Amino acid sequence: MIEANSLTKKYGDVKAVDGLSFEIKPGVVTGFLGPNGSGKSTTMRMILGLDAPTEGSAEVNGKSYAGLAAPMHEVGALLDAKAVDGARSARNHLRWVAKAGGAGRKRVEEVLDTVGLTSAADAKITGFSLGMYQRLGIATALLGDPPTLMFDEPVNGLDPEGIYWIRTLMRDLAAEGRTVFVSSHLMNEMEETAEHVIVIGRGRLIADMSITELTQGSARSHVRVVSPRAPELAEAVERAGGSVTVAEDGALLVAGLGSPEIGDIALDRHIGLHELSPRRASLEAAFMDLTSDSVQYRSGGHVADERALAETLRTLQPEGK
Amino acid sequence: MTTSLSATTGPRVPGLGATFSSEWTKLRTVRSTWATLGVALLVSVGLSLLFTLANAASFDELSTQQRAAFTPGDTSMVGMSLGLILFAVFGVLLVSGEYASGMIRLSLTITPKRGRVLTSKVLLAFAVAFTGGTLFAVVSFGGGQAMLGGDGLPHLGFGDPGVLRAMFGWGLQAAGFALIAVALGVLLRSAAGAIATSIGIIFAPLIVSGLLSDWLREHIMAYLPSSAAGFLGAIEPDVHSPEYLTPGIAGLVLAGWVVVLLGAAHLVMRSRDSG
Repeated sequence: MIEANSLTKKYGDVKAVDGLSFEIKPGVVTGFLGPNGSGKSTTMRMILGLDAPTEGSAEVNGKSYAGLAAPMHEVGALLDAKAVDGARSARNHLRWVAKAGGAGRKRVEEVLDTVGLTSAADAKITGFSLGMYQRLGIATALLGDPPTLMFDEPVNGLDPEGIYWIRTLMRDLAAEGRTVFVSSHLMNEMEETAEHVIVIGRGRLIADMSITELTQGSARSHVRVVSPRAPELAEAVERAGGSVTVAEDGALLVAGLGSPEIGDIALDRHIGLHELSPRRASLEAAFMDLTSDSVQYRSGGHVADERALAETLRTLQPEGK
Repeated sequence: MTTSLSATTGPRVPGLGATFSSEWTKLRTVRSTWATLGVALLVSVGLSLLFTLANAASFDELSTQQRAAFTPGDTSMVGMSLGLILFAVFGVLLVSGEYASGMIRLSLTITPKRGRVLTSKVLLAFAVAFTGGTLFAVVSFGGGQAMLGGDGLPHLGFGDPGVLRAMFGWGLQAAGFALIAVALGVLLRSAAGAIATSIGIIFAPLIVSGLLSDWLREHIMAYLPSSAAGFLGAIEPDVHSPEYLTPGIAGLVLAGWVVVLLGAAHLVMRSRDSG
């Protein structure tokens, strides 16, 4: 569990982080989205007691970081995988961390095994690939078997295999009941992994909501229906309150009704269905909808500033898209 | 509030011992540590023995006056002064590498009590430099005096007045400069800057003091770390030198510098972002 209360960091007159308040809950992966330079890393450093907030405070598992008796067993963090002394071997690196944090040598071997670095453990870190650096950083974060984990841009520069590995690991860690807080500057990276997202732009909170909430509420979520008697079905669906558009291939795209309702309507009228598939809006599309007035949000979701959101959104797409 | 961190069932709560042992692991697992100490040995002992050898060989050419002024003890310790540079480098390496790589952030995340991290580095630097400095002094002195004795020249033994004190005095000098270097490493964060400043502190006063008035030498230069340190290790000190301090006072002066600089390093490290 991580809590930020009006967390603020000023450098001179510039507010790198501006009154951030949020609560990161255990059991799910929470994405921390924001463009480069929006204050994600500064926020994480403040949570870890590395940088002092100008105003506000952060707590981990109910305590300020400095007040933790055995921090390594409470929070594991990967900030910058390359920030290690490359002259040492991975095993010796993990050994000094283990000693400082109060873990045994056996635990070092366990985390080496978990991240798949056992065979490279005695080589100098300097020769590592970026992916191996990331694995070493994750091993370091896991050393204390902590209930809370923070990763700053963990998939940056990784190959697809490495990305898949990290995503699976993060989901597994959350499934074990841990708090997992992961930052990224790309929205599509979060789509597969996170259940909850916190979006910031220019140091300010823009959105704090679950991805389900976000995508189900989106008008872009729809059900794709293929039927030999499409016009007839479309009419019935519209009468039941759905809105229908027709795709290029003739399929019906139904919004406002779920697959069960559409299936029942078809059954009532003895209309055959060749396809009935729910399509969740992409995270990106759902965010887009947040900015349009036509969509109303029902529940706990929170959007602070729609214009800021729209601006932030544009920067959260992969390059060339 | 209940936590799972009870001493019996939960993970070990790390204390100063854990931090110290972690710092020792950091230190011994990089080759640069051993390379620096190896060069320190080579310079301290090797140059001392070479200089003694050269002096022994040319002793016959000295005038009666020069023979009377010959100090066999300090003659065998000449390389030790240069070796101090390497103990300073050793002290700098103990901290600046972590600032350069950014690994300091990991150290301070694992051990948020920054004073404990600094204390561990200080204890470690002291232990290694004091042991190394004393050991090198004993080897230089023992070897040098054996050479002089073998040639039938004036020489001293470990039992002679001031010799044992000087041996530990060299250990304290090495430790003193290593600690000043640790403090500079924290304050400046850059290895190059900290090493250059350390060398400046050690040698600049020695170079310029000859050009200064006796008053300046007696009242200012005497209290700079290098001059004070010099009298800690002197076996046959020049008591008529304007900078002369008794070994006790010299030790206090050096300790004063170490305490002030480490105090500043501690304050800066506590208040600075990311250490």
